[in-house]
Amino acid sequence: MAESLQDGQVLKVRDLEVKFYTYAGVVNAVSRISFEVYEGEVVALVGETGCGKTVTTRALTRLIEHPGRIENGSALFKRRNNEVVDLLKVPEEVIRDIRGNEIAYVFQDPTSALDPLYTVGTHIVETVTNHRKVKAKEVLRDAIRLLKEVVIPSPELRVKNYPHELSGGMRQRAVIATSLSNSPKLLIADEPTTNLDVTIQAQILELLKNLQAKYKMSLILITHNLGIVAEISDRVYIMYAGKIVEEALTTDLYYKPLHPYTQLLLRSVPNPLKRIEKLESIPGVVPSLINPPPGCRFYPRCPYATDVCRREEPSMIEVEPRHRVACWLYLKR
Amino acid sequence: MGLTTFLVRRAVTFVPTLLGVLLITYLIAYAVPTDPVRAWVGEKLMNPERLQEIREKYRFDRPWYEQFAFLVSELLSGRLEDPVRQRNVFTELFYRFPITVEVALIGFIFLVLIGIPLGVLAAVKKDSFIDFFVRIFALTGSSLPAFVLYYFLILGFFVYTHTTYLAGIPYPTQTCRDWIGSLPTTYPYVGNFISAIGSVPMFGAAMCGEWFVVADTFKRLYLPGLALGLLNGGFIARIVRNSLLDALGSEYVLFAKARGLKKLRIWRHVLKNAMIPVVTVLGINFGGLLSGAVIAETVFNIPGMGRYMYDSITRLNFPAIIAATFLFAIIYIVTNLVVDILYAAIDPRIRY
Amino acid sequence: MSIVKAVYEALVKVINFYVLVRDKLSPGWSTKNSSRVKEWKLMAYAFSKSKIGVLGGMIVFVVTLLAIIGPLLAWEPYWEYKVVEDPELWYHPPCIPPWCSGYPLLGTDEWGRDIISLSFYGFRISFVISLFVVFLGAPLGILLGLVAGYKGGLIDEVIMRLTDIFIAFPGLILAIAFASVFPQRIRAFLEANTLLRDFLSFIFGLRPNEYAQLAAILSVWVAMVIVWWPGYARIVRGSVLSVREQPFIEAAKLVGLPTRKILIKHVLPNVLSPILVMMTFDLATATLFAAALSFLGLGPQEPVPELGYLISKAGNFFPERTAHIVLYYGTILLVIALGWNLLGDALRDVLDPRTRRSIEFREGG
Ligand SMILES: Nc1ncnc2c1ncn2[C@@H]1O[C@H](COP(=O)(O)OP(=O)(O)O)[C@@H](O)[C@H]1O
Ligand code: SF4
Ligand SMILES: [Mg+2]
Repeated sequence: MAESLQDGQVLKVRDLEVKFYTYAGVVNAVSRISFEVYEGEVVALVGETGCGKTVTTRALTRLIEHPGRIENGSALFKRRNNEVVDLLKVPEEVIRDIRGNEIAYVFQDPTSALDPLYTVGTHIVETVTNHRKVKAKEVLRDAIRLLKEVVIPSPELRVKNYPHELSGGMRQRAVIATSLSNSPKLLIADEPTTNLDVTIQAQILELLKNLQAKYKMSLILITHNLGIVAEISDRVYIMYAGKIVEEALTTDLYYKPLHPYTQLLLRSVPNPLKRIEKLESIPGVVPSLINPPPGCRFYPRCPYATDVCRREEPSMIEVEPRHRVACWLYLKR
Repeated sequence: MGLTTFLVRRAVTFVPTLLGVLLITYLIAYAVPTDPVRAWVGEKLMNPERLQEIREKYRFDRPWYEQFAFLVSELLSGRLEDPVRQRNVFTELFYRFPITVEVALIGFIFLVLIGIPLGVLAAVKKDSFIDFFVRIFALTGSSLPAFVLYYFLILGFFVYTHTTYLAGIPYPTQTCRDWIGSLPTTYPYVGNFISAIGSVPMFGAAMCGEWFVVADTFKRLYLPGLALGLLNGGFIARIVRNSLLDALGSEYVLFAKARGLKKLRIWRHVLKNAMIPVVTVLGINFGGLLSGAVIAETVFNIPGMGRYMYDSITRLNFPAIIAATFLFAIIYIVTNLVVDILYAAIDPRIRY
Repeated sequence: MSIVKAVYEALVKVINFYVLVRDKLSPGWSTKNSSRVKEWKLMAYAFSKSKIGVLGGMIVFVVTLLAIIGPLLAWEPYWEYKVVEDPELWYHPPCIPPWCSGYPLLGTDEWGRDIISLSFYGFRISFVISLFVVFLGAPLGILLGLVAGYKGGLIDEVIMRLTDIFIAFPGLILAIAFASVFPQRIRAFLEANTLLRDFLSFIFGLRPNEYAQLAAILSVWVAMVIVWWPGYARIVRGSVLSVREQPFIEAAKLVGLPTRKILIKHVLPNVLSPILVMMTFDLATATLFAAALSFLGLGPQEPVPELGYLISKAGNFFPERTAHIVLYYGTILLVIALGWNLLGDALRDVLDPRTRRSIEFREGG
């Protein structure tokens, strides 16, 4: 293993590549992306729908299903016992034990994430007992505490409720409680508020932020909503068509967006604190991931595009400290 | 709001449906245009006085509403008489009903034995040859005229190989039947229920431990059972396959994986969810098997309710047809009720 | 594969033609509906890729053709009992040329009629009955389901209770009961309406004086329609309930469109695909169902060669003299039903947006 984790890093992903082998052709859903997550940090992963955010994070614990394949890359992860493992290479049983235990997920749609035939309590209990040898009774007590923690009223009753007996917001809280049940080191929240009412979105975000601090875990927050980003994240990765195009501290990103795509994104959100549902105001569409253009993937939509952008792919460079971008505008030739 | 409330609610809607069923059986009766009395009375006994007597008995000389009132009251009070056999229709039906249940039940067993393993196989090997085969098997099964299949099964199994014999239904011994008949007096309520179940010869024999009777029943009825299994097994397999694939591809299963659940636990989620549509369809199919029994019993010459229905049609025996239809409808409603209860027991979303 | 291409191109031609006609009727239609047309072409593509669907389509095509021209092809009138002249013709076994000659290829039935010639008539009867049942039963159910689902309240309650009651009977049993009581009334009706009688005998390919048999066919038909509509009413009502809540219906109401228009223009198209699939499957079921009723002696009888009835008669001498007859007629029924079932199975995939998208994904449009 050539690389190892630096101080304070929990996760270091290098050259991750995921492809889907469909009859139409090979979909390059994620193309050699690299990023890292530090302990106790909130990282936002931002991009339009279909740019590969979900696939990226699911690849971390090898949740990619047929016809998808993880082609390349490494994902070093520091486990609870401080052992560093490559998530993409460890045996199946180890990755199974890491899932839901050290790396937990909150999915986009709370309605479909919970099995309708099982109570909220059962979901929590099985998540714990499949990783640790404990009595179901004890876990049930713990489950009530967890539900209290995610601010579900009368948790003693709710723990016996079936998913359909809860409202959308409550369901997402229950999902979060389930994911927290093993106190994970890293929580991945995949657009946790997209399917919820606007009024509830803010509550859930605040909850996530509080819990992240309380549990001292790292949080990867996936969103296509830059408004959310400003509120809770420390650092941002901007994704476009299966690639990371910019990386910055949140404040830097708003202060001085470098990539033309980021600039357009921000312009379409006049006030970053005001939530906007879609980023559709940028003309053009995301290029097909089946045959991505050879040069810069943003080239067809970019107002500053030059000839070199079409021919050659820009590499990631550090323009300012902790602010990196992949764009020919910043590459001296 | 628990299971009980649900059941009570369900039972309440049962009543208007039953009333409606009566209404339709009446409509059928009223649709009788001319008097079928001649068809009822055999050639030998045909004389004007006798015809007149029967005509009066069934109110054929009165307006239709009186006919209806007569038929319904006779039906509900259990006094309705089969004019051809000249005995109470219910005596006839209660003798034949358990036989039909046996045929349907054995068919059901074949259905499950053929449908579920094939469906699981097709789901596990999705898009493989087996999957394609199951699809074709299902489509062929639902395209085959049942009676043609029956004929050729008889040809293959009976005429050529003599592996089954078709006549007669085995019954438990007299002591066993007496014991079952005495149950209601020894154990009130529960005894009635058990005794009713025991009136199906196969069950009765099983209750007395007379396994040779059970075995004999299977030996005699496996052919119609196999036929029913062949006709509908593919369809069941497709349902099993699709619901398994739906469950396997669902978000909650992915989330279960993301929570690091063990394989066995994940399969529990998959199977329980996949069971819901399967139970529903199996229930509907059981009703269908009863209905299909008419043809099966006619071809295989089994003296069940279906055969009774068939014989009654050829003699324009409307009182019998109406009584049988009514009984069939009740069985059908009860099967649906049982399915709903099962359904509610599995799926908490239904209990409201 | 060339078949795929040929089928696809043929379907696209049909679609293009339809678009052309619509455009002529109301100029600008094609530009307004271009995405819909594209979707249709995608469906056509998905269908042409489905081996099962193409096979089913071909069978249905041939079956339809045979049903139309069948009675014209039949070389013997079904009402002539040749056995009267030549007793040898009583269930004459198949007569295959090199070994035997002078008798029909597949032998004869009890009246000495050529099995094959007879089957052409049977073909028409089975086919037409199934069409009649589905094309009357389905619209009836759809209409009631639409009204129940859209209107709600008391109307909904009444219609759905009625549906429940009909669904409470096993279909075949109810149909048996009805079919056994109708014929005499219908016969009287036919005797009074000779025009209808002539029309029906023409449709079924029978002689006009076949009163009793026509009445029997009609009563099977009516009985089947009675048991057929509830299934549709239920499904349609369910879909309408889910469609009704959607914003575009609200919008249509706000604009002040009359109910009838909303139902036809906005609700119906949204529930059409599952119905179309169901109707295709039901054509198979109805074919077999009608045959089963005749098999039980409820349909037409002598001399009308209904397939179910012919099989039940052949059953009397099964298997010694008639195994091949049962096999032959059974195969005809099987092929008719199989055609519809194959077609329906493919349509279900093609019309389901979920699977269709996966096809699109795989094939790249
Ligand atoms: N099961 C799959 N089969 C084929 N392609 C897929 C599949 N899942 C995802 N993809 C492709 O991967 C790309 C990234 O998807 P995803 O990560 O879900 O996007 P995001 O989460 O950013 O909206 C999409 O363009 C999609 O086409
Ligand atoms: S590399 Fe060229 S095309 Fe791509 S974002 Fe930069 S300027 Fe635009
Ligand atoms: Mg996503």
